[in-house]
Amino acid sequence: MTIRRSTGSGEHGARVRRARPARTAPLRTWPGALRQPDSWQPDGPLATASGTGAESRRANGAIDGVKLGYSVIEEHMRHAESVERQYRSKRAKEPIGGGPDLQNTVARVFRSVADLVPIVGQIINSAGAAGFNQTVALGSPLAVGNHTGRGGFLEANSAVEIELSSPQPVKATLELRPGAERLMLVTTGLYAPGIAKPVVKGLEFAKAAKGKKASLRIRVPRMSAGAICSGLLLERESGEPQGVLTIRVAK
Amino acid sequence: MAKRVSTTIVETTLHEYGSMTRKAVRRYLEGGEPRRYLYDLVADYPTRPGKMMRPSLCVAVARTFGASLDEVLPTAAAIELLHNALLIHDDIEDESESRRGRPSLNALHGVPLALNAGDLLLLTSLRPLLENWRTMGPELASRIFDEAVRTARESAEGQALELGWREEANGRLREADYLEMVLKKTCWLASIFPMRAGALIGTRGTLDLDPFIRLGFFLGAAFQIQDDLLNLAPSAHYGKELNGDLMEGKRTLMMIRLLQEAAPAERAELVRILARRRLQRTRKQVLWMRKLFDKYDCIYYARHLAEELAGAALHEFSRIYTGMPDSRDRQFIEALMVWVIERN
Repeated sequence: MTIRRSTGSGEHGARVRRARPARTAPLRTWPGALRQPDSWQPDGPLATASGTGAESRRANGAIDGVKLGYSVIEEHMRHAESVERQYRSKRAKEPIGGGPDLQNTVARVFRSVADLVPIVGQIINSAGAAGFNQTVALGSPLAVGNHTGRGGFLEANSAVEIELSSPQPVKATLELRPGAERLMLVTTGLYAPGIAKPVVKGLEFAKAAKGKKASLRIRVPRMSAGAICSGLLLERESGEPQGVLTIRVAK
Repeated sequence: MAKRVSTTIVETTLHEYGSMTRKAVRRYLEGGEPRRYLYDLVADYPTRPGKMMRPSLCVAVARTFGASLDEVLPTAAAIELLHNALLIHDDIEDESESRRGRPSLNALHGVPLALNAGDLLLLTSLRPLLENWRTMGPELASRIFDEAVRTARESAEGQALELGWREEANGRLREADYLEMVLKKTCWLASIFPMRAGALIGTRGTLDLDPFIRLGFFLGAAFQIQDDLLNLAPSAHYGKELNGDLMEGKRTLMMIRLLQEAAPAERAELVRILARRRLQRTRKQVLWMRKLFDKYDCIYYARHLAEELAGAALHEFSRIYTGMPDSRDRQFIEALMVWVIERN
């Protein structure tokens, strides 16, 4: 790599030559960077350099394990999807109630009765409401999904008031552990898969106080259709996870 | 320079979560009669010292998403029970002589009693999953149950591939065949199911579980290759018989490499030896195959591939956990990617 550096003295910039980088490709043998790759014993000596000679070994007929691994696993997942599609198509052709389906029957019977999650709320802001604030308390007609408790986890009136602001239709799902609405919660932001920086940062949580519900204010920026991001709600003092907040943008 | 990942946290976490899971498992191991012929056998493998990687992984993943121990331990117990049940069946099918440092159940009691105990243990593994129905609600419990059923099916398919290759004396296998077999036979139960179940419990089913198939595959495949390598190296801590895989004629990565690399005459002899049944294979033949592993750098080759797969596992881990807050459970899962290929 050549960089022309200006000296600022009217002279022509001197040409500075940097040494060629030791590595220009991903380091696939990263554990080998910690010790000799042929150190058969796990407590073998540490390597002093990161050059592990993987490429020269590959030239001797070895395969690219990562590439091969991905081809195997992606084929496996494609096959599983195809089997699943066939299964769903077969099920769709069955007459309703035509066969015993214990799982679904039991699920239907008990769905509204029990769920471990003490507070689960989903808010879906409609297309018409997009761009406007919506304030919804769990338990209101707009709250979709189970928010019933089990074993006394959920008090009849306990709720989290959510104020959702988004320029497009989104669905917010909040799940909290028992009693978490009475804690001081913080979040490090909501993240989308594969993106290092938080996508949603504007979150404010106020814990429940006497005669006052806990509230959560979310400002969602514009995101691509179908995007999803989620994040943990942590107790400020201990850092213990207390719940999950998920935002889904309508497709 | 890659950062050095400490594996100390793996040992401590495996010990901690392993002890909790053992306690949970004991609830499902009933006494009663006939103790000598059944219940003692059923409780044998689960009470022998094991790594407890599977249940610990399930607990750790669930906790990274906010689940409590009480929520996840029954599923962790189910995973451990299922694993032990399949070990009994594997040992019978492979005619293995030792397991976790002691004679295998079939070696101790014969195949019929061992098989019967394995059957009951398999059914016992369903109990905690059924209890989930009551504690988690039907939707989540049935999803975990579906995962268990899929895992059982994938494991059986993987075992069938390996047994079929041995039965047919298949000497034309490639690395992709091996990885597909390991994905099914090992990875689903060792890592994919534990992580997917943990994520289901931790997120109440709101997370896309596909990334855990990739992560679990790379982690489990690296784990299995290391397991196959340990079978060739003497160690006081290793609970299986030395060179047992060679004695059983298993198509390990080293064997597949050897079949590709050996000279035609050696290859023909290898195929002839591998076509024999375990009891017909002599100690001398096993040692000859072992020497060929060294001659053709098969161990070096397998170790290198395991390292590459562990690297890919670390990459998949970062794709899932980027942005998640740091925690001991997260550190444990990350360190596991290194531990699987460094353990002895």
